Amino acid sequence: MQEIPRRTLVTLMNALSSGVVPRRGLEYIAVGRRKETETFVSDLEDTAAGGGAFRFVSGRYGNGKSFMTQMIRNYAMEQGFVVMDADLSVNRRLTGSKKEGLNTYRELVRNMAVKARPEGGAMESVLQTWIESSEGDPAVMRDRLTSLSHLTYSQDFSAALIRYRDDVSSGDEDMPSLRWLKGEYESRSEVGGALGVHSLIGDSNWYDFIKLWAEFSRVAGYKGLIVFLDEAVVLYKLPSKASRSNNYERLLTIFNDIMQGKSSYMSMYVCGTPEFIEDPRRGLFSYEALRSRLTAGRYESGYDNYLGPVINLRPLTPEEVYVLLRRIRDLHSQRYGYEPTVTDAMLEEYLRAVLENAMSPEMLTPREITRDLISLLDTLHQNPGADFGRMVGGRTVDPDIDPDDIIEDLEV
Amino acid sequence: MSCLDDLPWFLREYIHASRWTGFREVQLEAFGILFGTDNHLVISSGTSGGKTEAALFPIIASLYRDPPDGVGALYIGPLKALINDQRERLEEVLGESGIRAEGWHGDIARSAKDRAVRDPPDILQITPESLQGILTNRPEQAAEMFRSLRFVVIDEMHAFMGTDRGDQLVCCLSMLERVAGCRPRRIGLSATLPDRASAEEWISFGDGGASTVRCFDGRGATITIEYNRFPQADPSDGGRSRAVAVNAYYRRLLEVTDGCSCIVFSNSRISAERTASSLSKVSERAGSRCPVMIHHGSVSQELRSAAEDALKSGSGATVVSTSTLELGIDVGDLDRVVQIDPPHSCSSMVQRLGRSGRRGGAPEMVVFCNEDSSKWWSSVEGVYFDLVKAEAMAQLAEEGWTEPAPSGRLPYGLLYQQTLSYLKTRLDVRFTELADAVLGMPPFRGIQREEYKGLVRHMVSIGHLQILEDMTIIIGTEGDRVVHDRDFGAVFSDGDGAEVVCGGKQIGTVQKLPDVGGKVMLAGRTWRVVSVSDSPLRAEVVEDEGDAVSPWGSGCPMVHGEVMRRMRDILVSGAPAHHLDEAGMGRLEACRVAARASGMGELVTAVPGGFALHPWVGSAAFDTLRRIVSRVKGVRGVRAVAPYVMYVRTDLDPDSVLRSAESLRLRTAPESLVCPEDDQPSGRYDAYLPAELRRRAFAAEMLDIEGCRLSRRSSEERGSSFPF
Repeated sequence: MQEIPRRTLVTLMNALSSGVVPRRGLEYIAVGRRKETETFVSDLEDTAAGGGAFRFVSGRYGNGKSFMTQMIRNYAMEQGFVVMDADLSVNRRLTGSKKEGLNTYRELVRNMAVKARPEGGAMESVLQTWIESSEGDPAVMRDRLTSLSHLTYSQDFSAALIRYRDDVSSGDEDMPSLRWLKGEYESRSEVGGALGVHSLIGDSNWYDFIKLWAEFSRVAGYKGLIVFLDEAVVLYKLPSKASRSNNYERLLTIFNDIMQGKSSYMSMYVCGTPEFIEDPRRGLFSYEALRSRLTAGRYESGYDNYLGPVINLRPLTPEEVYVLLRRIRDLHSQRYGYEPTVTDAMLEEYLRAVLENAMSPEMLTPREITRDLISLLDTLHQNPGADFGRMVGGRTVDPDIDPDDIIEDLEV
Repeated sequence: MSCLDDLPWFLREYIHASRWTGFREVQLEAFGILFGTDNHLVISSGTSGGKTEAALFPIIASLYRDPPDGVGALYIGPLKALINDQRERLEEVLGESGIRAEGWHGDIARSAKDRAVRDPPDILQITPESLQGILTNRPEQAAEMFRSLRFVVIDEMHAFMGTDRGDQLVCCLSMLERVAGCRPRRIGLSATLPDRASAEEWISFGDGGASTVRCFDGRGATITIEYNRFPQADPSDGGRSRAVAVNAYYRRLLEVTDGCSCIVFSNSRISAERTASSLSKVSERAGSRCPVMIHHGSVSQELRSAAEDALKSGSGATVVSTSTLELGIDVGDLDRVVQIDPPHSCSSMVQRLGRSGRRGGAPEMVVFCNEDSSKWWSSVEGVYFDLVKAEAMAQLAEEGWTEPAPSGRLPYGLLYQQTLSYLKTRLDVRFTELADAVLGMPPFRGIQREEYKGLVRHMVSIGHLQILEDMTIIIGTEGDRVVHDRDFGAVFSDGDGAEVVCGGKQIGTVQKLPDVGGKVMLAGRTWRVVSVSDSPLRAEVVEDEGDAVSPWGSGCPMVHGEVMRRMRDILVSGAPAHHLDEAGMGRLEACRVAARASGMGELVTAVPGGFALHPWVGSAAFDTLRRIVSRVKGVRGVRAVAPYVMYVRTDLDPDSVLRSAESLRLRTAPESLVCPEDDQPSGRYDAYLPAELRRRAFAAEMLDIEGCRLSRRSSEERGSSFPF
């Protein structure tokens, strides 16, 4: 088992034991999903060449969508892309009467990240690097920004970028250009004349600004922009049909924009459940324009089409889960610096036991099993005399969902 | 008036301008509780008893002294008309104080509502449905508007207690507290109240901390009962003797109502229409100038307002009405109240009584008991029970007794509605959260979590809810339709649907037109439908026996056991009847003779083919007993005239039948007595419930397995050899 940088290892293990997707170290526990990974890698190549892809990543609850996109995000940064990600929620949608769309933009921009700043909050760093590379000369900057001119709002965007240089050197706490770029202004009167912009980033136009960021990322020396939106099932859950409709409409607009080549150097990935995508009454398929585009490249005579707009993440096979468990075992021993005592056969026994004892084994997610195994390994490590067989026999994995919330025998 | 000092200047001005000489007892008591304690309060007093002021003055004083940040007081009324009415009165009182009051209900424009949200008035007057609408459709705004809510006044409280609508109101108020974080004091106003304990329980949501100020019931009222008999139309005299009798009745009705302000209460819309039109004719013929008008749920708003105004003007008008005028819309000083046929309950009688007697006179009611011999079902073996019932109710009302509020209800239909309402306003709700928030509300305390899960499961199976993989619950496609319906906020269904007739004579009305061959229960008997017609909506029936659809929830009056016992005393034990006129006394005597002859005083009387059973228990207990006896092995059938007598067809002797019935009663769960005919969704959302829950709700509300226990002692009292 290869040596992993200590810091990465610790972060990784901490995240896994609390059931969250780690921000780093994913490559050490990635199992299976080869074809899907190839698709993403190929997407990145296209994006770097000036193209782009819009894909839905579809997978059931707990089956590794977030994991997959996190991995791609990290890989993209490694390769020199700018990345942005946001989790959709009640207050962060694609559009809404209470600026829910703008909230999403703000979150995306807040989470901007690059190789040098993988945690997020990279905007200022990106801007400053760019200013330095332009030697702080406004004329140079303006010249380099001409490649944005075919995009809407490019004038204001450029003005704000150039103004940023002045704001930074003024040493003032309050930087209007930065606030504008972050989408923090709610009304034009707040902006004032000094900034020299006529428009405002808002609920209806924030996507146009994402496109500007994509083009700008090239100018700034990066390969392009990759955008990740997770928890899209939130849109499916919205109680108002009109709200869902508006949001699906917006998704369609962005989808068309990217797939028809009206944007460059940008790809977008939206994660959601199969229901969110395929439910004909309530999901994306209820929107005819989306349905026809998304089913276009689906199953071709029994084989999954990995080039279609929807990537279906199927659950890990038991064999793949087993491989994952072996990796976890090895990582755990590395983390705490001991020789692994749990054999492959014992892992098999463990896996068999938890699957047998689960109320609904097909519902068990890799996240839950991973968390449970780590907990088991922790206990074994701290109690060397403990009897493995006894700990494993009859063992049940704590589900993510409170058992009281589970309703059995559902029919439709 | 020492506590005048507690009141702000504009209220003192109002009092002075209205020339009040002092506060009434009820007001002083109420002030004491409102200023001096933190308790919820129930105020019961007659219509002009000043209970509205008793509640409002301290509230207004509080709002003036300490202006609220949002709505400070909520006034809840059952009718839009009542709210509009109260609004006017309130404006007068508020005068130049600067305190603002606004109304909010179905007839108020959207722009006015939006304004009220942006700039909330100090006092908001609203119907329960509109309050539900705000909570379902504008929850964040509700939180803003009501966060400083201090008082909730519930007018006509008795009309809410023990009903679906009242339960919904409790849900809304409890949800409001949760959403806005307020803990207002509640004040319930009513002319009549069932009993102190259950009223306090209701207003405090079962948590205690309530007081009552009571000063009105039926005591001191004058109730007279006049009896009329309409013989069957006799072809030999061209129907003349009948026409004469009917005419005489209407002329007497005119005499009683002419020239004064009065309401003639009728028990159904169709009956009200007929009375109004006949009285009009007679009135015109007699040259009277006193207008006769009509008022009920199917009458247009303009006509209803016209009727209300005519009464208010005090210049003398007669309005024939159903229960719509029972509630406290201000109709000015009424001289007296007329009631055609006994009312459904003592509570209703007292409530209607309370509309009269404002001019300082005692409340007065004239009850007309009209026996129509062409309707053979109106008497049972020669006994005209309605007359006895009227007398019994009059006596009980006079003694200050009214029916206790119904308890132990299982409002599953409301639970359905509140579930959808909650899910409309939130995302990512799983079952535990749903159960904590919704099932935790006071009206649902009798419902188990497992039952609720069953309801949710059912709602998923019919597409009203959807459960996602991560166990979050959202509103399904079908539920979406329901929730966006304009009338989602209402829980009650609309009134009278179809007329039911026998031999062309109306027995009563039912909500839904039944199918041919189906059975209905009306006027205490079971009927089989032989034909139906679409316009007018009508069903023709013949008498039958067995289990029938009883139009529960509408139109089938449940008689309380106490009333039955008093009736027995009057009919069988010779207790004096002092409300009847001479004709009535005569008929009562004849009834007593008939009752003796058919052995109604006995628990059991032999009849050809079996025996007759006279249990003298309330309607629910009677029907439960009927079901139990029907299931005894060896009983071939039971024909009931509820709640007076049931005829048991059997070869077994009565003792052994009743013994078997008792042992069945002890081991039978009420739900198993519910039959398919009972499963008639009557509440607005009942159709969306699983049949099992409807059955359970029916059993809880309509059956009384305890009360149908026939005790040994009572049979000995009656001098029968019955061993129980």
